[in-house]
Amino acid sequence: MSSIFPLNLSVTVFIQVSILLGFVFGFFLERAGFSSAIRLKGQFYFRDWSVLKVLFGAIVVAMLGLGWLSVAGVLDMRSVYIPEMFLWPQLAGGLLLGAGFILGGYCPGTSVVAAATGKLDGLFFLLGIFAGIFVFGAIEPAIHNFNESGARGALTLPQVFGTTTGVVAFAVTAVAVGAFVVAGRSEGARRLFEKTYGRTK
Amino acid sequence: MTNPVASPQVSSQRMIKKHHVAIMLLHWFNALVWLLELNTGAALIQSEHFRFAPQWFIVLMTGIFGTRANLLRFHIAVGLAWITVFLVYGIFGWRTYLHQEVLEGEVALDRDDWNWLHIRVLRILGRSDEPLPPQGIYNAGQKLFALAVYAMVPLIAASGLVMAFHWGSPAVAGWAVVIHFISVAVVVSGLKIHVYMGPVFPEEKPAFFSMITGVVPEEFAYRHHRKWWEEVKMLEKMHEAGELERQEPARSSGFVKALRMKQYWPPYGAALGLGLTLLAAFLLVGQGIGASGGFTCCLAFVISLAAPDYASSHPYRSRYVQPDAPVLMDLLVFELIGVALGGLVSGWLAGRLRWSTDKGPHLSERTRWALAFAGGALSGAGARLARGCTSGLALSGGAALSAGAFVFMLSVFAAGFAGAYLVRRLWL
Repeated sequence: MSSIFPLNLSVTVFIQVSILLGFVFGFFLERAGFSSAIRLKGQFYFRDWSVLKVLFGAIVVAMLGLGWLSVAGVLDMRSVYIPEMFLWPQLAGGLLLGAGFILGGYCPGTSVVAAATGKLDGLFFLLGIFAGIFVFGAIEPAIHNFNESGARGALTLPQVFGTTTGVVAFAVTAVAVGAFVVAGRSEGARRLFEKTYGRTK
Repeated sequence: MTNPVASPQVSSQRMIKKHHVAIMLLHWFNALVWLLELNTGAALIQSEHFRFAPQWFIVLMTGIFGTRANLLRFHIAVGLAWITVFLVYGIFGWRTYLHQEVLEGEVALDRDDWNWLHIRVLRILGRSDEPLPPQGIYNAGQKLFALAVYAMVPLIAASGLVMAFHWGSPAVAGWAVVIHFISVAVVVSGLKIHVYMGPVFPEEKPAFFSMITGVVPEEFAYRHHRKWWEEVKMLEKMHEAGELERQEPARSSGFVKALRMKQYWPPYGAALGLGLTLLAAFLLVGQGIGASGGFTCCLAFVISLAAPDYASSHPYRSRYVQPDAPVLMDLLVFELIGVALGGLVSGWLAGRLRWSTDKGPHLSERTRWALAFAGGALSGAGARLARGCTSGLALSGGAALSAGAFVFMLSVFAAGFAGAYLVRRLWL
């Protein structure tokens, strides 16, 4: 069975498509308010749940899209790139990125959008990324073994749990919807609190 | 107007609207395209008769794109995008904002304009000190440039298409090369003055900034574009006298309203948009959308230019150095450029573009910048360690149900929530 997607594009079209995809991506990031460190950090102080809503919402939309299109035979999932798993570096890298997020107010993608809309802190964050990547490259030989540890290849959740993609997709959707409900409750409770006792600082 | 003294109604504070946002966007898009196309085009010229760029420049440009073939592909890609955008603007924007401005304001030269040109030349030569005749929204020099551009652009586009797709016989292609070169040369000769007048020439500064803000000080309009100023004034007077019906607030479609709204979009709306974009990326290029990888490519490119031996001998860095393949011609780099442009346009439409710093109430700006830099460094290193960031790994990998992506997401949120408590003084 041959599927139409993913397309095999010529270099010329490829450049235009990737700029366009980036453009739309950046546009929606900015629309979501992710060019503002104030809004982003609000997630970690339970003031503003849009990070969680947007992240999980987008994952669920794209995941369900991928799933149904591959069931319909339009998309060949074997040709879709799935990030490889390196358990320990990814765990540590996530911790570093999370720490950088709460310290600096952004993550790499959102800092680009922030800098593009004139946020100077976003610009400094962006410069910091280059510094971080540069330093990481310099010291990688020293931590090379760690950086390659826990390699599991392009492991997916269905493989981990030994079940079908459909079941996992359903579970992820259910967890996301649960998270949305919690987010809504939390924001509702906060509004009520502020209405009763005034705004907290 | 016989009274040369600024009348009391003319204020240097009041601003008059000059350009539609669409025109400003088009202008800067056009500027970017010309910058890219002139640079890549100069490096592409093979004929001895036409080549003018120094050898080092050709080596540099070819180096950026790896091979000459890639350079050519890029030149064609940008050119095609340029033609497409102008066609879209021409077709959909004609009635709204191009029609009147183009025909009446930009191109048609009247008697005053010819006199203006005549006196301007004499004044430059020091042969006259006559005052310049009053001008419309664009002066005669600008109109001449516009005429030249409008005449040349179809030639440039057509000859470019002929060369890119090998339409017609070899003789046609040969002529296309010559026409492409000459028509570009005509525009460039005017472009030099245009660029000098904009950002460099002090008297025209307000005109330059009007391309960013859309407005000019009334005083500038009064001094340099008297006839246009009079028109604006007359319209204002008619408004005040109630002769013109008050323009009812422009009825805009829901789509336009959503584009121009000042508030952020509701999170689920943005999530739907991002999710569909991600899905489109999987369908079109077979992978999601990443941000940190683009940084790595840029950095690797700079390092391999600055210190090629170090880059190729270093055990980790050498992974990102490919001797023959183009380093900058990477999906991720182009995506990054797109992300920045998309953010810029979105912020612009919503009126959110301004220099500012997001910080907690008890923090100085400098401290905030230092912390942002430190945070950036942490997340840069973290993204390398994890092989992706929030976009490329968590979002894109998460949608593809990569196990690593979910591990990464959990630890990002764990560190974020734990760290939030520790650094609460910075934000609250």
